[in-house]
Amino acid sequence: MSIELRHISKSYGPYQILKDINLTIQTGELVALLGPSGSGKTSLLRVLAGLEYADEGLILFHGEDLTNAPIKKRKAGFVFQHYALFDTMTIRDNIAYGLNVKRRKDRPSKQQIRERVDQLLHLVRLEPYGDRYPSQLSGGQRQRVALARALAIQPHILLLDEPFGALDAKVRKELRQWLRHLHQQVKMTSLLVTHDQEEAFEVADRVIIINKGQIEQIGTPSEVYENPVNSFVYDFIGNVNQVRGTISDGLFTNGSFRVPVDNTEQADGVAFIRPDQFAIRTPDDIQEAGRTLAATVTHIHPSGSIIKLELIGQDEDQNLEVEVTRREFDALALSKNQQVFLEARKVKVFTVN
Amino acid sequence: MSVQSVKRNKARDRQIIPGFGLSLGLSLSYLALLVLIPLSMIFIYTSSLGWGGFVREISQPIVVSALRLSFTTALIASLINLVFGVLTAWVLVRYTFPGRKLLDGLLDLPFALPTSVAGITLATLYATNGWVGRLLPFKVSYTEVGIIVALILIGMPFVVRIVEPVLQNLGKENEEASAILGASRFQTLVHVIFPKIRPAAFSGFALAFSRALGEYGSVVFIAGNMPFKTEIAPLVIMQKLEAFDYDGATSIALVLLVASFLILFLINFSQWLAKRKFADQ
Repeated sequence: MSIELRHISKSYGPYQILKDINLTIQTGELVALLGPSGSGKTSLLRVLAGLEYADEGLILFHGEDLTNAPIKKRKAGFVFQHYALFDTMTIRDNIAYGLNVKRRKDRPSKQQIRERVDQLLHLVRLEPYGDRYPSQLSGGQRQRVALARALAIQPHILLLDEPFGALDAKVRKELRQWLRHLHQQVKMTSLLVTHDQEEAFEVADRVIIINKGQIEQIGTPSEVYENPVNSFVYDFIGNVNQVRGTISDGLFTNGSFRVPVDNTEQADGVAFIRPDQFAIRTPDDIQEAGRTLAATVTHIHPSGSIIKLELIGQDEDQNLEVEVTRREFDALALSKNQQVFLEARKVKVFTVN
Repeated sequence: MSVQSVKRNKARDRQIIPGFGLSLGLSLSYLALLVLIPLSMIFIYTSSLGWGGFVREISQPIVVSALRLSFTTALIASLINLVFGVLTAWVLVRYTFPGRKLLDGLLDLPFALPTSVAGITLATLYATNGWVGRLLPFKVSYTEVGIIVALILIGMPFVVRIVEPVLQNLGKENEEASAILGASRFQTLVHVIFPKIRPAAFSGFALAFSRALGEYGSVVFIAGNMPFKTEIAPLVIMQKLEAFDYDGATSIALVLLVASFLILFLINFSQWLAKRKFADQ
């Protein structure tokens, strides 16, 4: 079941939370909607589910216009951040709920419901817990129940609203991988809302970056990471160093740091450099002087296989962050307060308005 | 040093009010003087009658009729309070409208109002030529209906006040989940919302019932107090006391006391059951 949104807009009083959203999700795709809090991503999901209605625009499920259709007709599965399990019912009754409330003529027999619940309990690996109550389960287990409950009605699409947001880091990681596997098994068109870019990149086929109610970029995780279209996406996805300077005559300049740019107009600019895109040089082996910043090491975080260095540039307020592999770090024999030269391998310059 | 003394010291260290011994002693003697001793006196006094004497006292026709009247009117009134209390709580929690805070505040009035004031007001309003009584096709004052009206008034806040916080905590997510799974509003109400508020509503009902069973001040004015017809059990206790028939008075009191105890026990037991099963720890 493909989903298409055309020109969706929505306001709460004076606040426009969704501005002309256009997007298409293909059948069987798992797409992550990624944005900071307050960006409108949850509102978009709720509009899709029918919990809220858009002021303008069209929602098409497989070409069928469901813009103003009631919740029930959309056949969406929804997973809430805080599970929203019915805590007066057992796990089995929770999962069977969507089947039990069907009209008599559509409702499967008791035997069929029992079998379906068994299958789902197996799918979410909670077979022994069927007769317990939600309060007797851990957060991760509860969220798996919520997922099984959503899948029980065989929805056309699956909507997940920050499903791992309330869980601790380790469980989150496990569930993420598990969800990826599950999606490969059931191949259901899914939209996952998250503010955690690591989560979005790990799970999704495609990522939609949303900010202030507008879509900033749509692409595969590597497209978005390699080629952010604007400074917001650059800043939001992963760590990044920002070096301020001026643009004139097709050149971005900050002291001796010079990078050619397409823009020929006079403007202020910011150069974005990822922490892993710096090579650390000694004065003897600088290759491109124009791409090099002088800096002093202020802090070393020797944690894990990647060493994080904090440095300070020649301007006192220029903080820089560099990541090197442990091997490089050992070869350089760096120490605190040492003066080094940082050569940027990859720089992207955006003008500042 | 033994393990036990270490534990006790720890518990003591965390208290804000100092002097565990003193404060416990005070609370216990306070409770004993005001509650335990007077109540046990009823048991002791009645037990001196012996089983036969007790049965003889409470099986007098006038007593049986008064007890039956008290129990049935209290039951009907608290059932009505149950239904309308849940409804009122729902309206107060889920809707915003002008005057909501005022209405919310007014709800406590039956708790604060002297019961005799309520009784006199009701008796006047519902008398056959009163403002409200005139409009009704049936008699209210001096009938069982009048008693029930008075009992509804004094028991009204219980259900509302107990159900209100539960509804506030309920949130909308559960309802949304239910709707997305295809349930109708009615199904959501029956399967999702009612089970959540049932323990609270039941507590409110039981408290309103206990209160109604012993209510005196507001009822006597509107009831008319005709023996065998509109004479409630607390009134019979009064009459027996005035006639120095302490045996009779304490026997009826014992019946009411045991009924209240049973109700409180049932509330706590049912809540304990519910908590054990599905409460969020």
